[in-house]
Amino acid sequence: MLLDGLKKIKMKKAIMQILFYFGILMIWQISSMVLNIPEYILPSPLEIGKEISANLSLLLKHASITFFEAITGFILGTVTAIILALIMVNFKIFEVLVYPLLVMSQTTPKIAIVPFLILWFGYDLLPKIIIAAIVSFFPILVNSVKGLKSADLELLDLMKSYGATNKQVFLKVKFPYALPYIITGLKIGVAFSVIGAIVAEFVGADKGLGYLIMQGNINLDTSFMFAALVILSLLGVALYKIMSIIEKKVLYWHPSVE
Amino acid sequence: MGANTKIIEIENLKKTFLNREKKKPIKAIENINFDVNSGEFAAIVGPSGCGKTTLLKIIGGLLKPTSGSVLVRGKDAEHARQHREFGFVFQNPALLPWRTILENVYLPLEIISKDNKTANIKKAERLLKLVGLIKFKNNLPSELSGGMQQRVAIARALVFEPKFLLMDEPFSSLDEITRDKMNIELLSLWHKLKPTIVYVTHSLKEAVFLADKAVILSNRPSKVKKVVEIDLPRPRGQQIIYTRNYSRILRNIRGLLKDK
Ligand SMILES: Nc1ncnc2c1ncn2[C@@H]1O[C@H](COP(=O)(O)OP(=O)(O)OP(=O)(O)O)[C@@H](O)[C@H]1O
Ligand SMILES: [Mg+2]
Repeated sequence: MLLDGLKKIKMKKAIMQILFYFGILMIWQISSMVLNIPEYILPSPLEIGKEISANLSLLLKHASITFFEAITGFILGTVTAIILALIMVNFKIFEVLVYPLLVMSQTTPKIAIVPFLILWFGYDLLPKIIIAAIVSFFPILVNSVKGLKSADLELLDLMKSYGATNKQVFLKVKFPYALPYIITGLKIGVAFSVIGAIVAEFVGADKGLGYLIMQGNINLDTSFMFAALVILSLLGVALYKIMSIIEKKVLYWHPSVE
Repeated sequence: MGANTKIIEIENLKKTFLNREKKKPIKAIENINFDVNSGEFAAIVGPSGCGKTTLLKIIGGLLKPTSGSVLVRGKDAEHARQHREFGFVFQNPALLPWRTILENVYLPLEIISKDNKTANIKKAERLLKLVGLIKFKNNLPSELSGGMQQRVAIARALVFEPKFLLMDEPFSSLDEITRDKMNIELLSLWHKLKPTIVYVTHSLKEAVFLADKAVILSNRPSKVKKVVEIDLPRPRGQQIIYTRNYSRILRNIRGLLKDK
């Protein structure tokens, strides 16, 4: 009974969301028709839809490249961030020495280093992966460091009274306590990684959604630009959604997950 | 070991904390001396902030004193801690929110003897029966009330059969009726499992109801004001607080405290 009720509420939510976004698209479509906005300024949803279906295989091919850059960079950023966080939490001196450097590196606009990366690593995927890694790295690091320090002090005292080893304390208390923070970092990081890949593609690329948008721009093909943009947004949404699902699975116990 | 052997000896204990900037030292404990006998229920009573938690953590070998000593059977408290002789119950339950109640209770066993999971579960279930929460073994802590969570913490502290149960105001956040019930439950657990208990509280009434001996502390920096033997009969039930003896002891202690 209760579960049925919950399901109904979820269905209602989904229906409301669909109606809301459908409404917005309708308003866009109608005003674009009534006001007669030219396609090269702002294409209507129908025109964008047509553009997408006409170029679907091309769009998906390039989307898969951007996806690959973003996700590879994200994984790279995640691994280094978590390793570095572990080192920083266990060796205070490392935190004192390295943190200021890391903060400084974050205030440098990432786009400024793309030309260097292209110079060093060529025109292919590697510079994009590196940028995606760099931008997703920092939020994951900051959150992991904070999380690894957030364990309940009394639980640590209890573990001491059971004679727990450092490894046991880490696996049974510190790491699970850090998980909500780490996952928050991952959610921000995964969104950043897509931005990083696209920005790097803008600077210089011959494939990927960023490249397609630039091509659309050069050819003044606004509908095509929008089509690529829609696919790009869907890619971001999908990645975020995957992270949310993982979050719900892992943090079943956390008050933020209903 | 007989009933009246000294098992914990606390001598000239002092504890000074350095504050964050390491400038002003905070004297938490001035000078504390007292003993706890084997199998005894000892209560430490003192006003808020006087250093009770600090004292309990020093007794349990979690904190080092600035000077003085805590000896457990003639050896340093840290030695006893390393031999897992202390079960702690803190002011808040400190359960792991991602583990079920059962998993929380066998946590100490999992750390001490990793391999024997079925035996661990059996022991944990026995303790959960004793504290009356076996029905909730598969629930998460967030699904239990504060008092139930504190009972889980007690079960967890007792599951590895420590010689000492060190409790820090375990029921201070509960309402009075629940607290009285929990105290009676605690006494019956004590009769069944017979650990030596050191119980911190700020309530004189609670100390007299529960303990064989009450160590009464002054304001911070704390000293022992008085050690009072409480010779009320056992087993004690709720009705004992209406007896003449109970009021007499309470009145005596209050009188003693006023004199100073
Ligand atoms: N780690 C610490 N660093 C600095 N000062 C501390 C530390 N722990 C405790 N103190 C100080 O020592 C004093 C005694 O603290 P303690 O927690 O032992 O008191 P308490 O009697 O348990 O209080 P309550 O009844 O409120 O629990 C307090 O003034 C507190 O500020
Ligand atoms: Mg305290």
